Amino acid sequence: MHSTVRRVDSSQLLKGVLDVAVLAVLAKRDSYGYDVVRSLREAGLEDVGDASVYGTLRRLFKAGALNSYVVASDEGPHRKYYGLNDVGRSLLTSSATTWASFAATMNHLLKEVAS
Amino acid sequence: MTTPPLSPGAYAEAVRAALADLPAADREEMLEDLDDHLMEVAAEPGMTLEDRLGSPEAYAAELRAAYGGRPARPRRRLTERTRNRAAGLLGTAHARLMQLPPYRQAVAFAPELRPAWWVLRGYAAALLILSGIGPRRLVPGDVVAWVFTLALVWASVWAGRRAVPGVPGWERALLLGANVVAAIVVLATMIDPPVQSSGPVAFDGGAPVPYGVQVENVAVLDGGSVYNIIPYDENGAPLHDVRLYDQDGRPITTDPESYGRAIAVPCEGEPPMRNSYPLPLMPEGSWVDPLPGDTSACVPPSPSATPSPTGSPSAGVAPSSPEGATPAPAPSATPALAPSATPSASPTKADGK
Repeated sequence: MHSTVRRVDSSQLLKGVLDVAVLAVLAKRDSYGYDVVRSLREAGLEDVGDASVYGTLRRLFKAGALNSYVVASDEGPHRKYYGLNDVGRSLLTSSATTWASFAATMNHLLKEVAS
Repeated sequence: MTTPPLSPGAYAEAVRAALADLPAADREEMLEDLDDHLMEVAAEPGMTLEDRLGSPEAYAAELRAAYGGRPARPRRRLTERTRNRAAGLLGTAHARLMQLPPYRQAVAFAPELRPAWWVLRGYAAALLILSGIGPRRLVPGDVVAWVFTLALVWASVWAGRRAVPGVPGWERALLLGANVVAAIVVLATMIDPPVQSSGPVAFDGGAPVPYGVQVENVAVLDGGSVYNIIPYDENGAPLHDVRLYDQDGRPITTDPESYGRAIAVPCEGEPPMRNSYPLPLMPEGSWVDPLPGDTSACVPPSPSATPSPTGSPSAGVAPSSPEGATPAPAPSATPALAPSATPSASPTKADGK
């Protein structure tokens, strides 16, 4: 571990929560990789890297949390869609609970500082 | 970078190359959507792939991190490829051979033989080191050599038992080297075993070699069995008391005891020299039972063994003497005509060495 003092930046924080973020995007609707990238950016996670999202999708799929299917499209390329299965949904639920409690702790710690 | 922008195909190729250290299955799983992704980005107007995604190497590193793979290890690409190819060839050969039942059985029981190999390996290493000090041998020569050998065997088994799971690279390389050397020693020894005969030979039952010189034993000469040597001179007359030495001045001896013969030891005088030929041999069966502590296990000079003295002075033909006071035969003739095989007791040592 670095012994230097580190300023928190969002790309560091993102690493820990990208899984739950991707699961949350897919919980709204099934989506293909590039669409997930766009959704995360629109939601405010502008620092998220394309490759990080694609890598996370592949890992979640390999772990059995996602299902995937190819949708033929008339105007563009065929696209591979990802969606949550039961494993993915329960993973999202537990991750969301963990995050909520963690975020509450941090908010409580920092509530006097940030103003 | 003012190089021309990469096409999606070239970009993908570069990403794949940056992940070449991963197992093929992992890599394909990870890169499943790469081409789709690059097509999507390329379809957006205005920016090149690299402007938008960074370098292929950066993309690969980010993908690897997000996928949860191991970080890229700096490793020389060529050795890696060579090693993969060698492993592939070996794997193919192994798969082919596995169709042969004998090979299958050998593969099945080979692991059980590993401890035996550890022992053999240590033994071979000890012999190799000992042969650097003394003569080449199949068996350690003395107690110290035995202790040394056993220590190496112990160390070899210890290393073998310990080396099974992951070992640091250099240690494994060392062990591999030791294995190869030991295998060469074992094979070389099997092909060309050291001759055991050159060494101090102890004779049991026979007279001890009366000097502390190494003895050249010719018991096995030219593949046949030699336990006595009968020399003749150029006229065909048998020679006696011919002492044989090798080029280093070591006595050349045979081992008649191994062939059921024994050297006849005269009762008085010194025992015959072991390299004085022809040896006075007699079948071991006729050996007078040697009583412990008794020196009677010897051959009295029997009259029959005495060559009939030519022109022995008979009492009757005694030179005319005024008084026939001579007792029977002149005894002075006997010692001089002692069995020719008995070497002279005079210590005319041929100063071997």
